Amino acid sequence: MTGNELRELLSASPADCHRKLMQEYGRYVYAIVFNKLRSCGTREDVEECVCDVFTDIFIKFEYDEKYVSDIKGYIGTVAKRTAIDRYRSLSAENSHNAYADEEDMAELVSDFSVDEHVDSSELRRLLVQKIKELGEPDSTILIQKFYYNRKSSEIAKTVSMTASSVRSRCTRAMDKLRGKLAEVGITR
Amino acid sequence: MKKKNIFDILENAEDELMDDFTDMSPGISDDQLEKLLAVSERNYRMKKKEIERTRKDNDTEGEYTVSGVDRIKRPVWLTPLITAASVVLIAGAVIGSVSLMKNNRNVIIGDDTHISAEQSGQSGTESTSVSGFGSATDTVVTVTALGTDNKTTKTTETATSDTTAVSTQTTSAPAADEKYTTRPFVAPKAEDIIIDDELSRYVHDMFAKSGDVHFNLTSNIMREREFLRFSVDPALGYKTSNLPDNSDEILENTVFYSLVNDERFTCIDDIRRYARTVFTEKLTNSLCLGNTFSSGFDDIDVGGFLPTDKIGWFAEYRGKLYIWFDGGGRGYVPAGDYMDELPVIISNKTDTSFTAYIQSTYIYSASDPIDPGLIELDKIGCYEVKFVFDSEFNDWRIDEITLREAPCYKAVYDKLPDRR
Repeated sequence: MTGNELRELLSASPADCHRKLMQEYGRYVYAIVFNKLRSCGTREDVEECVCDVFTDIFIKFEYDEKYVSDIKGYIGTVAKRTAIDRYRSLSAENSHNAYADEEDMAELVSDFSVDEHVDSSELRRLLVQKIKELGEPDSTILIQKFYYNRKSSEIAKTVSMTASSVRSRCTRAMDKLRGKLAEVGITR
Repeated sequence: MKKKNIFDILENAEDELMDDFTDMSPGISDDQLEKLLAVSERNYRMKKKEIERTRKDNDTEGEYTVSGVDRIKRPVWLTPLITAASVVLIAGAVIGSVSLMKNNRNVIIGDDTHISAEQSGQSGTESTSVSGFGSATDTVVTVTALGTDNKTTKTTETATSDTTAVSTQTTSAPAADEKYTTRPFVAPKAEDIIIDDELSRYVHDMFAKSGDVHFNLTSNIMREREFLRFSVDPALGYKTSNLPDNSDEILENTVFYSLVNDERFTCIDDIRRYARTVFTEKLTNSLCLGNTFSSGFDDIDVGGFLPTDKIGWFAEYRGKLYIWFDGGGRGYVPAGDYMDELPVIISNKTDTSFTAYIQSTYIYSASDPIDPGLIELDKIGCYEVKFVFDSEFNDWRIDEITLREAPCYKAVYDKLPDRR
């Protein structure tokens, strides 16, 4: 969707415009939000956050046209920031109380390690690359199974297979992925 | 122990990997999309409403527009209470005014007869106050005030030739048919009445000024509670309350003077000069129904006997100016109390004198008062004011003021050229 298309749609019918935006960018937003909230939120938290993202987007597009020049970039930024906010609030809920004695203060140093961060980033890129090398539908089955934590029956609908087929292909694809990762020295 | 999942490392991934995750994501079903869209739309509408409201608030900021209804609940009994209080207040004001008007009346002065008749609200046979000064006259006049009620009548008597006493006594005789008797009123002849607007205006102004002068010399003069006390001739019948002690005790054959502490007047000459701006020498000396001025008794100690010819309204005693403190019951020249509705009429004008007739405000009968909204000529009295040319000032001065009852004014008014 281009900016002009968005403007026209918005002036013609805001409701249709909103539907179109969600159809086009819904998965993208979901992927971003899920990526941030995977470890701390439930599926409902993710969906709620997705709704918040689209609410913000609808408002911004209606009152300020400057955002429509790069729709996807803008939506991705809003989604990421909203998801981070939600991650913080959900994490805070899980750890409301923190005790810090004077002795512990010395240990309160930043846990951000540049080396580890670079390593993780490289590892993610490598992992995604190896998964994609498995080809479809194995890559999708693996991601949905182990990243999105979907049941085999749910994955089966996406890839138009039976649940048992999904399970068997998933096992084989996982073995292949281990082999590929072992080739590049990743054995854990 | 939870098994380590290598896919956990994909969390918090970089932006460029998001497209891959999107492609491999489970997808959003139509039902799920509708559900998400509905929630998003609802949130969007709420937020939009909030934004519009905020914007409207900001737009109206600074216009100082306030709206709304402030509901105040008043007690039910308040209205009747206020109404009743108002009625009582108005009724009190009306009754008080009528009462004051009734009491403030009956003052007259003639050519050679000085009459004082003071209405008193008290009844009974006891003398309430004594006033008056010795005045040279050979006329005996009995005057009774027209009673507004039948309880009180006062008589003023003048007697003896050289040292005349004027006393006011209270009796309980009815006074329904009694009237003032003084020099009879004789209406001027029609041919003696003249129309002179300029002179009429002059008379009007002089009479008004005479009221101010009289007021300043009788009521509006500053006094101190420093008293002189003298005994006087018992033949005068003077009685007064014990003023220095603020007591109700009646003292007989006693007069009091209080010290004048008024920067306008420090001696008798100051008083005289002031009075002479409107009155002749004769009227100045008898302004307060008797001797206006007395002096030359410094040799008499306070508490001693004061001869009758030394009793005056103002007294100069041992370098200080004093004023008679009789506490009321004394008559004055009826100056300045007039109305403007009807013209001042001039008659008998010569080079040395003329007489003016000025409408009065005097109410002669409480049972038949003048309607303030309607001029009823036959109910109106007048002041007969005699002006004399005073060579000392090369100007006219008031020589006599006589109050005439209704319908005296009409008798003169009807003789005006345009009403004959």
